[in-house]
Amino acid sequence: MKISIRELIKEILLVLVSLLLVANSSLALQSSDTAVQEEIALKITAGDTVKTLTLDEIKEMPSLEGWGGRLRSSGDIEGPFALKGVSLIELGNLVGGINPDTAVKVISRDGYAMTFSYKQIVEGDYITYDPVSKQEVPHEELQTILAYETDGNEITFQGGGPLRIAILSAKNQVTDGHWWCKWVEEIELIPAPKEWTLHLKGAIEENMDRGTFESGASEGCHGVKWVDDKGREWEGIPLWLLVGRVDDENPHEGKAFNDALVQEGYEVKIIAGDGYSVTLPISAIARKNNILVAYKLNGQFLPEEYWPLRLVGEGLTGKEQVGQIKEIEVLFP
Amino acid sequence: MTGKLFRLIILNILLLVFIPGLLLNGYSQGQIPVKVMTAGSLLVPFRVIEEAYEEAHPEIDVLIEGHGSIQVIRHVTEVPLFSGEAIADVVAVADYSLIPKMMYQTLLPGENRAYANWCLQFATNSIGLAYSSQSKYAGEINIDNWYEVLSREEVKVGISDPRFDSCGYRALMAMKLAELFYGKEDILTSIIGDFSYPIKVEENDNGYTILVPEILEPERLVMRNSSVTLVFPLQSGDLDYAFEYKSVAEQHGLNFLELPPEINLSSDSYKTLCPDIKVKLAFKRFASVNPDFDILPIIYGLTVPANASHPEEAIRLIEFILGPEGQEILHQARQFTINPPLVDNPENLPVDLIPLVIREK
Repeated sequence: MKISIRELIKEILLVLVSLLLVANSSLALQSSDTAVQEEIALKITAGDTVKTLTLDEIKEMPSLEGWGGRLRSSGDIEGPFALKGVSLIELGNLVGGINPDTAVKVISRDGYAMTFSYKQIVEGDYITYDPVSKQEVPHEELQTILAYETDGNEITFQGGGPLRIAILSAKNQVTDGHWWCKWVEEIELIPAPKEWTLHLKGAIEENMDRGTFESGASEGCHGVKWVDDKGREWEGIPLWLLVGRVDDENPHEGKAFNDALVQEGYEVKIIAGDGYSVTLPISAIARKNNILVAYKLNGQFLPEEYWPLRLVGEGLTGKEQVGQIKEIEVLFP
Repeated sequence: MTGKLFRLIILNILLLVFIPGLLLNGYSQGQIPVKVMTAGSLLVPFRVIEEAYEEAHPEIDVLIEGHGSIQVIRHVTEVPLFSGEAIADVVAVADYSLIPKMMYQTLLPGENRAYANWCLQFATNSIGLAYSSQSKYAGEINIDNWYEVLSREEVKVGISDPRFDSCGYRALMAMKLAELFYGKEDILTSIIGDFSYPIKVEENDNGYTILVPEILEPERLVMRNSSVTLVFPLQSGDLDYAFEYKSVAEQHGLNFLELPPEINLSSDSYKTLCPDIKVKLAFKRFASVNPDFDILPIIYGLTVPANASHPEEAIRLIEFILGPEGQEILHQARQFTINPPLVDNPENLPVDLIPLVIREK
């Protein structure tokens, strides 16, 4: 094959131009990657409250470091890794904080979403496994973080970065892999009130669920408010109306509360989840709207010590104000 | 001299372009990678198939990766789009209906063709109770009393998480079917117990819808993330019984209580009890997947994605799986096969596979 000098120069030029193009596109890709890195923002929302953060801003927040690894659904173990990131509690605090009636939804760039409960985020309620035997093992404190560093390096895109969920545990423990969401872009605090049932027992029985109670406790239905001597506002349904659901065969039609039975006299027993109970004569309750079974305090669902329901009202002693109510029983003579 | 120089330049360019790629991908020995994305319950036989196939075809490197079946397909249709992850060459899932549902209706980016247009139904399974000889009441449990044994307070029962795993939502369906089969109303609730956010059952004209909430915190039930990971607590005695695939239980040497055919989902016999049971996740977990699962017999599906990197090699591997050696490996691993397999769209099937299958009735 004979090639003239002119053709050779032409070929070399073509090759050089191609190389320049390749180099250029490679540089362009790199700079585009850098741009993406700089632009990546984590969006945190809670209702109308929105907070966005760049990766650098996340790295400037107080960080947690520790070990974590995962048990994949295939049964394989990955890790443990040395991890660094920001606690989800800390991130939640930027939009008002996580409380027992919120859940935390983590949304990834590919549209995958995973919801964590309050107990998981705040109490570390996960199962931990021995990475060798894969058997469940007890654990101490576990922390859920939004990790940006693993084994001293930024988390690569292939590794689910730049931001992924990780659960910090003891070095010799791993957690279920499905919690370790990759490519996290958004964290949303969503309402997640826990379900409960109030058992009403008398001439008939009823299991009143949370939705039914809250519907009945709404303004314009049977909802009432009462302010105690500390200025706290309690919200709920008068006890006598709940008694009226089961004092005879008529739960809710017309005059559900049977006044005639009041004259005959009977008692009402309010029972807490732990078995503690208080018994009151119906004469102390009948038609009194200021003695109520409350489900809200100052506009919020009750704190854990009283949740889900507490008896409050005018003239009741401290011992009579039963919290964590599970059952109300009508005791006929 | 000039010709040599020219060839040298071209050679250098070729080396410059290809060597880093080869090194990065780890295929410096010239093997062709065939990536298989598979349901976790197929991992045991597929790892044996990998070994046997590579021995017979040293030029091929079979790469097996296991996930829940929904995740298997998402790793074809969603994840590689932005992650740069290698495209799968073979997809094998524990619920064949996911392939038409998630791949036929999704087009390749910028193209007018779907991720798949054929599916082979090549294996089946049944759901029942896995347990060990140490499990409480192991000597007492049988087909007539299992639901009563599982309801006992001291008995620890497990399922895989219905939010993540097909074995989990199939377990809920089986418990609902058991209520109809045995004429007992509370089998499902008494076995799964209470949750902070309850699983609810709604009755409708065609049957039942089981609603699974976004957060599942059981008070009594033990949940693990997949059918495979239920095996470990059963072996250690942390769990007495688990709703499990028969193949997985037998692969790991566990006892297995067969449930009646009307309940175990090995066929459509459930239709004699109820035309339809649906498990509905009360939230959206994926960008492109409607989180509703209809009751169907447990049938595994197999396809080659339209954008597979090595489709010819993928077809050769499927031929091996469907051939005598592959079938023997599946049988040895207690995986029940459909042989010859059924195909839904024979007109789209690669020509080399046509002699191996029959058209779906």
